[in-house]
Amino acid sequence: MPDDILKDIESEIIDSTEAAEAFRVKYLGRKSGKITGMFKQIPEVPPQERKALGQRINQAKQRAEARLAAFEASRAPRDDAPHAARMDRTLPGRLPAPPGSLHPLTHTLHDIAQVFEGFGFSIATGPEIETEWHNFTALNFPADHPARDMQDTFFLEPDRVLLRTHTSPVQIRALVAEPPPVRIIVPGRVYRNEAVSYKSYCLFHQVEGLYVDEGVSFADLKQALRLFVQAMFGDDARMRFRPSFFPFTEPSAEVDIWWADETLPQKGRWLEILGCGMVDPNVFASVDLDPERWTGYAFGMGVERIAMLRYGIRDIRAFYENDIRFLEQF
Amino acid sequence: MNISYNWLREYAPVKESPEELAEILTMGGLEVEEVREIGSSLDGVVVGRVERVRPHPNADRLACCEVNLGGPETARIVCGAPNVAAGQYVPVATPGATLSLPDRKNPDQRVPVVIRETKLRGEPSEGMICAEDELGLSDKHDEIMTLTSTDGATPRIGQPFAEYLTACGVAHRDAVLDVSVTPNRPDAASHLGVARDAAALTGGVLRLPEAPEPEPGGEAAQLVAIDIQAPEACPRYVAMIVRNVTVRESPPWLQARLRAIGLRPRNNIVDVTNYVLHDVGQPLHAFDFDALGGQRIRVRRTEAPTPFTTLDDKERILPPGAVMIADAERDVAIGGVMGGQNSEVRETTRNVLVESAFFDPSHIRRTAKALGVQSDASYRFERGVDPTGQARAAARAAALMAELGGGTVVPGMVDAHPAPATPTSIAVRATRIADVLGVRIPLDVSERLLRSIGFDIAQEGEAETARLRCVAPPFRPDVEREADVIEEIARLYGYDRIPEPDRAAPLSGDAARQSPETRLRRAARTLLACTGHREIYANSMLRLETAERFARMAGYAPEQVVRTRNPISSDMAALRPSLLPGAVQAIEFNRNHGQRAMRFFEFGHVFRRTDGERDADGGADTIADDDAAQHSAATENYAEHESLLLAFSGHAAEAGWNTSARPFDLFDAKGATEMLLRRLRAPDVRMEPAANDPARLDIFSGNVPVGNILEIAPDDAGGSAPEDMIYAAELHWTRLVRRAAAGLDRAYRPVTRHPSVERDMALVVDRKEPAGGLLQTIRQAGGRLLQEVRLFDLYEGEQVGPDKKSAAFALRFGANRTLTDREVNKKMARIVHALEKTHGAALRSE
Repeated sequence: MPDDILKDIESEIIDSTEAAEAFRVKYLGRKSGKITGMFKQIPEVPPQERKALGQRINQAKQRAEARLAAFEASRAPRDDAPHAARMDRTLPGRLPAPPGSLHPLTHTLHDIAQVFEGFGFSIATGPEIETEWHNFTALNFPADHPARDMQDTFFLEPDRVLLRTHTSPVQIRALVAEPPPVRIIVPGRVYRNEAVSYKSYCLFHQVEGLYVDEGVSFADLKQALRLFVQAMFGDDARMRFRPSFFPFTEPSAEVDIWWADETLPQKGRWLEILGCGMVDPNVFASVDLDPERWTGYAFGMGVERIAMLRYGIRDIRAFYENDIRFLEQF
Repeated sequence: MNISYNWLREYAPVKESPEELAEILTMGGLEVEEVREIGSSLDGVVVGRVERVRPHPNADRLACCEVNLGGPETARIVCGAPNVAAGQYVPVATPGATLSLPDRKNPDQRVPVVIRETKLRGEPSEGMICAEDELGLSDKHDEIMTLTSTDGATPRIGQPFAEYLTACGVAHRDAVLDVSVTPNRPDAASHLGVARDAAALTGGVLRLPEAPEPEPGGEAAQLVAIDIQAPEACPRYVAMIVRNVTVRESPPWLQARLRAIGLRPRNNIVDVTNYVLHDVGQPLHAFDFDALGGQRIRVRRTEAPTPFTTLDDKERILPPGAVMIADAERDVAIGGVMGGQNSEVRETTRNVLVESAFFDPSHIRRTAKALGVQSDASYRFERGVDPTGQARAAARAAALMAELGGGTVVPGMVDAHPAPATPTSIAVRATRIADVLGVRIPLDVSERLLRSIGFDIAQEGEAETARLRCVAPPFRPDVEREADVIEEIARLYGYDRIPEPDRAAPLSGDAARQSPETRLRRAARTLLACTGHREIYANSMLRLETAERFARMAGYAPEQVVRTRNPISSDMAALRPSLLPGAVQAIEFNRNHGQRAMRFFEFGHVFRRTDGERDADGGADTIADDDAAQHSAATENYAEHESLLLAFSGHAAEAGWNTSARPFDLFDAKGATEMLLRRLRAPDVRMEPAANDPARLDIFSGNVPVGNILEIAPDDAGGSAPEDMIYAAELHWTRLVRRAAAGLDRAYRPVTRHPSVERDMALVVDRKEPAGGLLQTIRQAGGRLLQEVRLFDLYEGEQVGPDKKSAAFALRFGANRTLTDREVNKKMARIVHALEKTHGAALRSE
């Protein structure tokens, strides 16, 4: 009988936990297991046969246990069987590193740069401590002119050294450094001496653009910025070019985009997102380029403003507070 | 600037609504930021005649009136005004009408009130007889308004009151456009100026105000002499005199005009000067003529700081060079900025001198800036008023003053006009218009557009040489060059009508050749964000004392901190010498908000004064251009560079089911830095404890210092918990990139097909022997065959004896061939020998 059962044990298929449990109950179960039953029958055989029978039943039992162990081993091959059986697979995983993040201004700046890099613009940078000449005079801001009031300035030395109020002085640096064609964008930090509030901070970030070559026109400017607005705000973004004034461009324009807002009677409003225009001939004159030969366009936008629009941030100060609960969302 | 829609329509025949007009002006270059409706409808307010008045039985101050409103029965109305009398025509608000009544607590605010039938002290009242303030016409409240047949308007019983007002020339409703005037458009700082653009943009014809100019001289010239002593600051000064005026409240139409644009009416004389200023843009000043001494006006410039009391009762100190208006003896006004208290028009004034001058923009700007004053007058003079408009404006003001004050204009005027301007003509080439704008606008169209805003135009030349000869109108001082005229053409033509080009701009590969800075910065940002660091952006400006403290930590003298001359507050008086203060602040902020793990990084510029010392990196870029080079010298006393900071504080790991919590320590900062420097492939990096500061490690690439690692204890007394410690690594990014740039374009090295050989070695050394030195010695002695060495165990304790430690290293050797055991054994022996010699190390016996 134990010999038969050995064959049975070997022929059972154990391919799941359920099958293994059924196997255990069938052969080793305390109440109705076949092997358990056979041990109970030992007293019923003649005493001289009991030892041999007991050995054969034990053999079958070991064999049955070995099959169960083999099954468990196949389930968790590198662990010892009893422990593996208890492993909790719902425990949280192990992160390769804690979560990190890039600042929302970096994301926005990068997205802006990527669009213009696709157009063939390369990135240029310049110092934040600037001369009055690069920041104002060379950009056609006359001394004692109200245009200078448009940008409240931090001075390090009166009328000489200042914190740049815009990234436009890099236009001058770029045109001085190498002759056209010049096609650059200039991301950077700029400073304005304004009271800090939810809508203005003493510093912010700009991306300046400059394209100077022969035959560059206002129509080219419109095309580049239309493509940019669509890349940033979607193909169906509505935009308009509105005449404006900047000392270093003429004609000058501001670009507005239509921002849907169901709470307003007109269902939205125009929001200014950048300023632009054709490089003023006086700017070319200050870097000794012939304005008859070269024309170009320039544009500039506030990174914070665009980030605030994209993410719905209401208070500009949130960018500089560095609250992890804010940072972790980007 | 506030522009009244009704007022503007006197000059421009605009049919569009205020909102439509706002859109048109905005797209033409005068941005309208807001449109506000003002006034109340006056629906339900009708003209009535008071038929009978009897005293109120229960109140001394009230009267019971019967008022004929044109209905079958008279209305019974209780009225409290002292001047009510039978026979008067009066405005009556009937039940159901909504009036916008002044809030008694806050006179500048109005609240809507619905008129109802009511009982006042027991007497029925079926409406309200109104005073001027209740109708929004003036501040007058002490008596009811009585209507007369003047100004071509006759009150009729039952007539809507609004109709009567309109006949009087008073608009009860208006819209105010808040126009943002750019600095290049001084002409748009008046109703006439905005109307000119409105007419041009809507295709209408501008109506100019009637203003007969008197001839210079006459009686006026006998009464006063003008002496311009500073013609460069005041090229023209016109004076007229109005005699025998009565200074009193202005009529409702004038008050309504001023109130609409946010001005508070004062008296008829001052109101006229304000009215003409906002009408045509020429600032005027009215002097009490009898307060001027010596029948003489002098225009002079101050030579020394001069005290002067302006008409707002403030004593101001004028800087040298300011333009002053003086009589024979004393100063009476700050030219172009504000009048003086000593000569202002008062209730007792009988005779008025009207000043209408042209002041040089930059002179006025300097004075106004120095005084910190911006008046309606200085705003316009700074930008440049029409140099030909002085006599017209003076004549208009004088006539109005005489009319409203019951006086007479003294014939003639004084026109001190020592330097009449000559208009210049500008040639505008058709080819240039097309080149700049990228669209061919026919010259006829350009001519028509320019004429519509007052340019004189003649066409010249043919085909390629065709051009416009333009004379800009005198009120456009900003238009001096061809480019300025092209801008005018473009904005009037409409930016939206300029089509995009058929062809795209030429391709460029420049973007693909980004600078090493840009490429490596992007790589570093990505790496750091992906390894658990959060990027922060901190303020570049901070308190001076804080900046000095961090400058010392970074190894600079406190005097090298850069300061701003005009900080917003002392909290932002200095520029950051290092990125560390910003990160420390961010760590404190987040700790206070319950965060326990802070792993930050920031890229940013840091600053210091150098005062002549040359930067080790060669200073500023060489600049070829003379002007630029000369001006760049201005910043040679300052140095700035880009910096990268990593900062750690709190828990490096939180307790988890399979991990235990631990605070950050120095090796987190060091490890992150090593990871970064390896990614950048900075050559030959070492980190060495600073000789003079136990809390600092200096980082070198070759012999170039590229940064440091600091430990900062928030509690100086040494009581900081490990979680409160801050560990920070700051890298001189600009310099580091220069070191790493070469690695960006390095050639590929073929992977060897030969197996490497691994050996371990355990050493016993003195306990104080730094591991860094052991590693360095192993690398040096191992030479090129040693590909990698790793410290895998450190042990101190019984088995190695007191004051000793065991350090175990795993070494990997390899070459582009198969190494023999002998070779490797020889190398190992050499390494052991070097370790024995340099560090007194011994191989640990098994």
